[in-house]
Amino acid sequence: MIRLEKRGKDPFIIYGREKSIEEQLRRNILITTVDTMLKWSRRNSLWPLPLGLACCAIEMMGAFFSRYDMARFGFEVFRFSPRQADLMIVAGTVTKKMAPIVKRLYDQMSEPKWVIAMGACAMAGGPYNSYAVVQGVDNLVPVDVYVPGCPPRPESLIYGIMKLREKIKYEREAKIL
Amino acid sequence: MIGPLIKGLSITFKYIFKKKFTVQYPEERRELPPRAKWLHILQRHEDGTERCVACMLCASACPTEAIYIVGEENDLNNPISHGERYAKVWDLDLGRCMFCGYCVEACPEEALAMTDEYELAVPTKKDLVLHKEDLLVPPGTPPIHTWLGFYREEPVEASPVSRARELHIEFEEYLKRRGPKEDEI
Amino acid sequence: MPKFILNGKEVEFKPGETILQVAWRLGVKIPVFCYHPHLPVYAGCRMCLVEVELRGRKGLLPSCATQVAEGMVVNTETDEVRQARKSQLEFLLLNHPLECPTCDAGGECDLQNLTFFLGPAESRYTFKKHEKELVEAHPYLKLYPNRCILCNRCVSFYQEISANDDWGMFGRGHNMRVGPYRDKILDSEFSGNMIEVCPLGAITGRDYRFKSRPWEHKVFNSISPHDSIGANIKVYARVGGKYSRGYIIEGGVRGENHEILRVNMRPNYDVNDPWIDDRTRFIHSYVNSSERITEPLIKREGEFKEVVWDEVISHVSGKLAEIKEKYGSEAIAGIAGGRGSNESAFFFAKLLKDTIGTKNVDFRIPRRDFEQGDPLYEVLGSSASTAKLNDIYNAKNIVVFGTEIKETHPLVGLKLVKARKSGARVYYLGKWSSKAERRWASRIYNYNINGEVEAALSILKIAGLKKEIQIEGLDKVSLETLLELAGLEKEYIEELVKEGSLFIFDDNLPYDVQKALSYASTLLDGKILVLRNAPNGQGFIDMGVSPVLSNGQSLEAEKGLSTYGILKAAREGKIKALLLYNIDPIVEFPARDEVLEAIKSVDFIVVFDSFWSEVTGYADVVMPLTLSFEEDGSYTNTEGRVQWAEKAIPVYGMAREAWRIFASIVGYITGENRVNDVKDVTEMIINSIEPYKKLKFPLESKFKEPYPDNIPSLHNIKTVYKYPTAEYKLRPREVSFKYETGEKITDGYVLVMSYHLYKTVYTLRTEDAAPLVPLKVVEMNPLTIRQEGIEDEAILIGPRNEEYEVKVMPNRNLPKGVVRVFYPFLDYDLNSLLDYNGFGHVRIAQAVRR
Repeated sequence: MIRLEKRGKDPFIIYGREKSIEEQLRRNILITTVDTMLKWSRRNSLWPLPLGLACCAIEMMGAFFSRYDMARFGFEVFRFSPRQADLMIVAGTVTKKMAPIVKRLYDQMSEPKWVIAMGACAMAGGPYNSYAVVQGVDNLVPVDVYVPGCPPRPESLIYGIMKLREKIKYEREAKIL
Repeated sequence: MIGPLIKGLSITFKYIFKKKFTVQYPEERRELPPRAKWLHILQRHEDGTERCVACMLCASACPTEAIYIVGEENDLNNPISHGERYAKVWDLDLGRCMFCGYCVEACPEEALAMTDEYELAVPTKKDLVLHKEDLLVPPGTPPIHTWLGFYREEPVEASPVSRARELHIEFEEYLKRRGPKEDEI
Repeated sequence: MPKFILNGKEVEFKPGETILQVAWRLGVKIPVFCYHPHLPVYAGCRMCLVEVELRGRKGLLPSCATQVAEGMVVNTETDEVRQARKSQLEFLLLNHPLECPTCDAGGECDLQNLTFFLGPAESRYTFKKHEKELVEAHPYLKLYPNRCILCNRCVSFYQEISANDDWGMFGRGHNMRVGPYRDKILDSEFSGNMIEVCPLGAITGRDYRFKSRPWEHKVFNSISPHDSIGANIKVYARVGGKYSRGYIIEGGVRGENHEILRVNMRPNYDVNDPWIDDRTRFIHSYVNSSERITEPLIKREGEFKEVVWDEVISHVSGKLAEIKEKYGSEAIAGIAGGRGSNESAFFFAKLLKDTIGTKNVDFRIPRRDFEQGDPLYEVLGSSASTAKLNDIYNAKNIVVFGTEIKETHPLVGLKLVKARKSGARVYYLGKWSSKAERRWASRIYNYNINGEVEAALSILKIAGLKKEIQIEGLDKVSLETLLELAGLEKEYIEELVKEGSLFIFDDNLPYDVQKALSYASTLLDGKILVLRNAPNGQGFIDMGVSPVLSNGQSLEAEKGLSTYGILKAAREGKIKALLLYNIDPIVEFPARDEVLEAIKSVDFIVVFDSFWSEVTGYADVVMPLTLSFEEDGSYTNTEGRVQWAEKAIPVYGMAREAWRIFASIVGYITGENRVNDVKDVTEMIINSIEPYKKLKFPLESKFKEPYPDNIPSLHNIKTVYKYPTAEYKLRPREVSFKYETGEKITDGYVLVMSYHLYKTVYTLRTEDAAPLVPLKVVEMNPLTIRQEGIEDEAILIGPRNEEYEVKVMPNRNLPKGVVRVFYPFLDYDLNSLLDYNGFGHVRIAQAVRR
């Protein structure tokens, strides 16, 4: 089987950051260190809020159990309470009836917070081009990573979360709230 | 009380010495079955031209209307595909696609195939739409044969058609061996 | 009613009906290839075989060619019949290349469908298939002889219906093929119909080639925007989509994939039964032309600035009110191009006549004699044809006067062919005649280049002599003088002047010609059919875009200026504001220099148009308009039939419907409520325009022909549409003529303005029409060309020694001293040599080769 070559530049990495010495000196060294440390700690302890709305939830469970064991990356704790979670995984069809609940759960999560749309339905409505289905969860909450598949494999989800880790790593600056 | 505890923990301890069950994903990958249906590719002929002729059967077979094609007439001096038409636009919308593989089954040119590429996560919704340039394989890639017997390359042996064709080929070969006769010229 | 037995049931039939017609009427499916309900029966494909038993004898007969007889026993679904069809299909498929994925007809192919329903799954033919060469006989047509199953449909259309002869069948056996007889572009205005008549993809059209599949598009019922026959068309457009990112933006703005894919025929037995001409079919990509105006613009400090709609509306309204206050309403004038919908014309007239209060509104070409009024109204009391298009079929004696039907209204030619074949006498009188006229005319008479008034008057005079009626104003001139000036013989005219004649002429002819022929028709109890040269000319007259008429049949209280008068007044500085709606006077009118002078001396010019052209450079305000494919609206065709065209694609850029703009200006000036729905405007038209009083929404009514579902090539003609006509009152008036013998052109070459099928404001903006459009071309008699020693290019020298470089094409139909130039003058400014009547003098020098 063929593995496709990756297309162009990796879209997750924000390129063009100057790392010259002057640039580094101009910055507050202490803050930079805290910044990096905060980012490091955040990306290694993402606590997900599993929003299993349909069949994608099964694959999400698969990703968390012992076969794929996402605890290896430090995000093992499924938090069903949004207050303790900082990553929302929207897995499944978001119906218009469910939409206010998704929004409220996102609002209840504490900052900083991220969202992964898992599967075609959550990304863009998928096969359900219907009056009852939200055409993409990005209509409700800001999405950081889209994971295509119907449903995606557990590996696909892990890949997506790893991409999210990269995204956090290269975020412009960590916000201390 | 202590008995069940030991019984339970013994199972746990037994697994310490067994082979590890977890797939160490990024470093280690599970071998997918050969017919795994993940990302599509657009294949090429051996001479490097595209196989797709923009017949739009995949687009019409698609249950979610995830494929969008615009055909155009080939420049016959510098053809992009075999035949008269080629796909000017061939877009696949991963936001709709459910990887059912109907498009591959519908393809009469063996142009479309599915690979085991499942690492597809993207950061924006715009990137969900893959264009022809993203999906085309580089020239010289070995082909994936997708025809599942609907369009046989070789006719089934027992059919009367194949026998007639064999006879025809045999006769032609015979003519070649024999060479033209004088009175036939 | 007599009866026969069809599939075990007793069935009634009308005498003369074929088995196929009865069966289809009753919903019994019989497959066909060569049978087409509008074509002569050929009975060559043998797909429609049925088992017929009559008087003890039994056999398979082609149902399309067998008339039903009393006592027949017909079976359409016996094993024998099924076997016959299956074998027949196998034979048809023997040499058929199975290239359905690349074939354009895939999805709407009779062979594909019938093979799917009835055919064999495998072919027993294992040898190499014959390969024949592709034929490109027309820039828009491509013939794939390999795919052809020789059903003869295209040939019978081409030879029987359009009466042409350069396409046919040749050869015998497996060498038999369909194709053109010579290596020239097909000499037909109807060749595109062969695409639709073809049951498979053997003939395909270039505009649609490979772009799409039939299940992808939406179909809209529209009306041909090219001529005033108003052929009914189906517009296939790719609109909307379900993609997550939205390739196709729904709603107001046009996305990159919005295009008209093709135009097909829509049967309306009153108008186009069901054929359409090539210009209507192929010329549509001008909607995406790069010359479209996208934004409303106001000229400030010599440069156009893009502005928003509200600003431009308030600017124009303010300016118009200011000019009206300062110079009076007579200082404002409007010229229209006659291309918009009735709704737009209604509001154009309302804006100028009611709101501003000027009567200086016109849409006709600037002929000097049109200042006298409306020629048809002068005679009939209403400015409309008295005949309907289908009266061509009923008339015994038809006189076509002065108009080159092939170039302007090709569909009338198709009707004339049918009329002549059913026994009518068709006479053609013209400056010259071509092969197109010879297709339908029984007699052709050519009058002198400058003698059309005399020719028409001599017809009237002879009609008057027959009826023993004195015609006022013509008693001074003798018939002999008229005939001599016209260059005609007395017997000719006497032959064609008959009781109940139908006169066909166009509305660009001189005032006296139109008047004389209308009067002659009333004398002879005949009818007239006026072919309007503007695509919606009749609608514009009815809506009151005329200096003399307030609707088609009632006179204005005071007379305004005609186009000629407006231009003259503008030159004299009397016109301060000029509204140009869909017209560029500089390139569309003759006498360029005078028009240009008039345009330059107007203070405030507002151009409402869809395309950039020369006059936009002189404009103070430019507003982009939608084209007919981008708006809903009704159009009145030349016989007064009011037809509705649907919006097919979203508007281009910021363009707006013309009626919406005019209504906003009216609303801005008067403070009335703005109208927002086009149907409200149509309602206003129905309530206020007298001939339209009896119309009702929806305008169309339709009925279905009983054709089976599994034959895609008949789908387009399955539903037949009908539209109502406006009803005009005839109030014959007293007629008098003011005829004086004019000067005759004697020396040099005469430049004559004429029309060309593929040279219109639309075709000149259509990129893919380029091989058909005569760019910078004049036509001359080959003898003259040889005499002058011209090779391809020549220089025309005007009276003031100005030089124009042109390409010269031979046309042996032209008289010797004639140089034929084509309207509109976007590519050359030869119209500066022409006078307002479309004539000019010129000398010729051969171009120097560079």
